[in-house]
Amino acid sequence: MSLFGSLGISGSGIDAAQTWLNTVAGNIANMNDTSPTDQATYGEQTPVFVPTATPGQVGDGVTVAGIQEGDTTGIIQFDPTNPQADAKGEVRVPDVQLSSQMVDMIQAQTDFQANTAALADAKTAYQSALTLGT
Amino acid sequence: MIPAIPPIQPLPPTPAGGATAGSGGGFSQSISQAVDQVQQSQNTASMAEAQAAAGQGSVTDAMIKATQASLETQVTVALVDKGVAAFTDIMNMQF
Repeated sequence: MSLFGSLGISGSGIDAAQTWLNTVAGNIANMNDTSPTDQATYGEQTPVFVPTATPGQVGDGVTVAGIQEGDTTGIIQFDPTNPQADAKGEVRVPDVQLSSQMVDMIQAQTDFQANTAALADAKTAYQSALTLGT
Repeated sequence: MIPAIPPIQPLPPTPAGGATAGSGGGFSQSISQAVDQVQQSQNTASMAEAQAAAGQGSVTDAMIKATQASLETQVTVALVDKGVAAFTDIMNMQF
């Protein structure tokens, strides 16, 4: 670990929160997708966070292990005016709930802010260490 | 009986490099290494900032690297100040 380890740890947390915000934005953007009923639709994306840990030691923060893709079955919706509609006038739409995405977004934002606050406090602590003995 | 006073030994010759190569070498060497490292982190920070400005790489990464370079500079400056203060204290010593 380098001299300023906590800066890197907080940085990895900020990166993870940014990834989370990106997936939420992608989910909201694709909320109104449609696809033919014989095809899969957009699956809700969720990032998977795992610790960058060495056993028995202070870790190096968090990494995004991957993006989990949710159910691509979606919901069958009646929309006969859609050009993708089948003979019964049905299309497949993603199973993405705006309310849960908004809650996820608030959580991701708080995650980002918490990591930023931890970074700022670490910086203040390092600076106050330099004033020792003066 | 009082023993005879031994003759005075001649002083050893002064080393060729003078004070810089002798006792002062440790401090100046470590400070110059620290300054080199500070320079390296500032280069890293500059590269990260250029990448962030060009749309590649993240802004947070650039800011963190800049913070790290700034802190490293502060540490080095504080150490140099302490060392110079110690030297000045000894130079001002009254005999």
